[in-house]
Amino acid sequence: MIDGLLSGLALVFQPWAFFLCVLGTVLGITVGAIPGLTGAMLIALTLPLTYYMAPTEAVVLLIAMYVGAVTGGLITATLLRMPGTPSNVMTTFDGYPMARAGRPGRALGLGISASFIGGLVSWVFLFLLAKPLSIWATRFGPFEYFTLILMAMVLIASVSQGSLVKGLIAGLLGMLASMPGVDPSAGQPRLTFDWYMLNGGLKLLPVLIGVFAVSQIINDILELGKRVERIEASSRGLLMSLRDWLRHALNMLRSSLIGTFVGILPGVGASIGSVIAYTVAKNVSKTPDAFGKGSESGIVASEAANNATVGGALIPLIAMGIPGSVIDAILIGALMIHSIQPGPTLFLTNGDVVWAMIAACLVANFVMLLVMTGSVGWVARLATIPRQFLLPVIIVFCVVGSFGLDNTMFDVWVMLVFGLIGFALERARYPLGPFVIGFVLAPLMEEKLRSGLMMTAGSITPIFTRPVALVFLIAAVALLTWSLVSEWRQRQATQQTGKSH
Amino acid sequence: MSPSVDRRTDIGVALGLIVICAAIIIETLDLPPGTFEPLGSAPVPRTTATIIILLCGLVIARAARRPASAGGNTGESGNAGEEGDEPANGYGHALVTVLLTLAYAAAIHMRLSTFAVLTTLYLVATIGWLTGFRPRLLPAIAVTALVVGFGCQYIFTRIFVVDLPGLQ
Amino acid sequence: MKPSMRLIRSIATAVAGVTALTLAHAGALAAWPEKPVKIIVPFKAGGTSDQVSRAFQMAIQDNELLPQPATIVNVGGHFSIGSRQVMEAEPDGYTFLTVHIALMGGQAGGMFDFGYRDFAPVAATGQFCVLPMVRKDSGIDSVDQLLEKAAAEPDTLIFGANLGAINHLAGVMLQNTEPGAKFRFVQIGGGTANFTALTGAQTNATVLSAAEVLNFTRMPDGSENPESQIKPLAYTGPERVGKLPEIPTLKELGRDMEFCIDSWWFAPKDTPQEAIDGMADALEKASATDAIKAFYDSKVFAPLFLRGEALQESLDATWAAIEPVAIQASQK
Repeated sequence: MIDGLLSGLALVFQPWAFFLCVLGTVLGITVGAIPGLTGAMLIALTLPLTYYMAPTEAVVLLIAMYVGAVTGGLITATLLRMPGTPSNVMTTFDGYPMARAGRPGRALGLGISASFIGGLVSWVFLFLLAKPLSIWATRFGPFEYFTLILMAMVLIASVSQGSLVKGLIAGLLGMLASMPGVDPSAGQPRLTFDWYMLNGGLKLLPVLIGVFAVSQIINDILELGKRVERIEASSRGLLMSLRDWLRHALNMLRSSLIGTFVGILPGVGASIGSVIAYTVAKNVSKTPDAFGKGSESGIVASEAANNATVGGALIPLIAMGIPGSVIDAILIGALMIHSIQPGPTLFLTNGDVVWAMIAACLVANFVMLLVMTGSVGWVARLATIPRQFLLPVIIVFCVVGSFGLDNTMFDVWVMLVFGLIGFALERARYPLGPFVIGFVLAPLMEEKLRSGLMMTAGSITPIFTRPVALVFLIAAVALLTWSLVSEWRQRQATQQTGKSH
Repeated sequence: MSPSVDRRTDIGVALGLIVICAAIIIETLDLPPGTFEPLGSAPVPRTTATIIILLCGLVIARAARRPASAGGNTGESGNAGEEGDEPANGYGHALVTVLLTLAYAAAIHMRLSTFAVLTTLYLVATIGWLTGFRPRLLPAIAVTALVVGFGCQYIFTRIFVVDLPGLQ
Repeated sequence: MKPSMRLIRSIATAVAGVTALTLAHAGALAAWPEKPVKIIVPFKAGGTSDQVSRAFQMAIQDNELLPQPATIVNVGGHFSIGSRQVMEAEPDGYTFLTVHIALMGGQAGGMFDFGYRDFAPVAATGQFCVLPMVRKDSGIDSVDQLLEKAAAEPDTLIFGANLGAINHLAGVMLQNTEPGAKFRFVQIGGGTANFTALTGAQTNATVLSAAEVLNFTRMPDGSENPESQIKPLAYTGPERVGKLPEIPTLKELGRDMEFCIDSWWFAPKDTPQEAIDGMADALEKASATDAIKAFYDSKVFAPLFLRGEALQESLDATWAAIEPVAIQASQK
């Protein structure tokens, strides 16, 4: 494994790859720092360009963007009380009050250091777990995959913010949107409404750009008139002293571990990791009242955890071909463009690509630390680019990006339509995360189920007789029951209080 | 959890989803049964669509039961929340941008002109509209539009070979 | 008489010249090509068809075999979409398609309602064939053993395939060489997915291309990879492959089956003959370049080149062989 890592590092440190790594991190931080632009949007828009690169270069660039985007959001979260990406919401609670209290440098410094540690801790797990897990996963048959994906779908729907019913609907809609076209199992065209362009189905990229970028742009335009109070960044207090490190060491480690674990869970990404770590930090804190008013521990917990999900989420992606987060779903798309099928044999068939990914994840964390420390004030100013200019330009990129992948206008129309659908869903409070995960996982789930049925000539008993499949199935059922019951209880409780008023 | 969406949006979106799912169910009816396994191509989309319809029914039932006034601005903070903060012209801006974007895509589709020209026109119109065509900003808008329009055309037809309508 | 004869002759020559010029101009083919030529690849970038097309594009460009650039346009999604785009394109001599046997499989299997006869064939370049694969610990050492087992216990040996695609057709053809033999075909996917499934003992057999076999079972120096758990049994080509010299062909084993995939170049029907010939010339010259030879070598392709009559015969023969198999495959 050390050999693999060294070869990966050698790849990343080649001049062009290293340039891409730095470029990706800087772009990620920049986009992450601009509220309204998210890492998912940046990576979805970059995807068509990676087409023209070697697969190893493509993954280096995309992973660097991923690391940068998760971190960059803390700048605006701290200085403008606007989370640069959804995963920085928890950071606003303490970062902004602290910055207003005259210590913006300190708040940023804590966030940056915690992000770095979170990234490193999860990277260690990525390095240690990915290969053994992938060897274990070669023994997964169709039924194991089917139940694993089922569990992932339930998980993402039940932990996404908002109502469980809407989470489920969003996930199912994503699944449905992936179904037109030649079916993944028998090659039978379906749901094409006799329109041959639909034989190829709706492709991941235009759907993604639509749902994440276009709907977000429409939202941003609605809110153009909002004013925000800005706080100037200062570099005072940016670097932490040894005493600070020691004081926060436990919290950093705990939050990083939480983030890594949440990242490993299929389909759940940075936002949830940060919420859980923040809640745990608050519960074990001796001064829970300080949380939300500028607590140092709050910033550390949120930022360590959201960065830790990056490495964690790459583990199931590499080992099993199951995305650990929304951005990972896009990374799978990037690999598929290069005809690389993520999954258990990835180490064997494309070892160079895997090791480049793992190495890039490590190097990007160091680059991130340097870039963030060096340019925090400058990046903060980017957030003030007038969005009247920015948003239309991004729409142009959305159009070119959707068109460029397959050179057809059909994809541009799909992108625009899904932008409107995404906007409507978000207005009605349907979470978009489950939608995309459903879109990515449904074809795999159906193909695995039907392959399993082909192998057994129509019997589903292996689901109950194969231990791993059974464990996943029980976990899925338990998760669903538990979330249904807890939501029902909550409704009862709110109705009770509603009546007593 | 908390009923933070106004009732009409909730019911409207759910009804829209039901219509889409119904169309999909109808489209699955004439698919042949499976030859290699008992399922075939139809059941998975059909089941998915059916469950969505049932869940949408639940959403509608819940929305209908709560008083109309309970919707609106009680939401927690988030992207879709805080409608009250929006300037009155927010919807106008969004609507015009969407319409201009659709026109832009249609123009590229019909290859009315080169990508550079169409993009420049689109950007001038959209940015101009969003900034209220303030004369002070017009030079900046023109420069942005030209740089992005012709820059993109250069990059995407010369460096990355994309089949955009270009000069030939 | 003489002068008038001369006059008439010169007038005739002039008229003929002008007519020829006008005609040529009307067809805009005085000097095909006058503008860049578009090659549509109906598959994603990176796939085998894409690599073939790009290798030829480079060879044509580097050796200046065409006075105008040739650009590759990948149309993803299902391959029938890009193919249909070319079929319906203006037959002006500037749009070409690269596709392979899947076009016939899809038409015969009833997936779409057009086929190779709806295009003007230009050339066939390069050919690769496949190898039936089993696990090393399966106790099966030859194609005969595999097929005898499939006949003794029909519908139990699990054959990993991408249903309706090349590896499925190859599997059906293979079982047809042994009376009573029957595999249980299971949807697994392309080469990598089948390699994974066979390695993980999810399936009992599959076919892989020669390049995949080298990639998955051999070390870079050509020796056997000890970590690999699968092995090839035979080769479906007309002759043994240089890089896998110990693997016999099916013909040598007494089974009348050949299954190879040529890269076909088509133009829309009614494309002017000048353009078809011009493109075929460029491709033929490109085939002879070192770059293409090196490409064939690295992909374990046989250096086939067909055009004109020979191409038409080869297409018709392939259709005759593949149509019944594709129909059989679509009905299980």
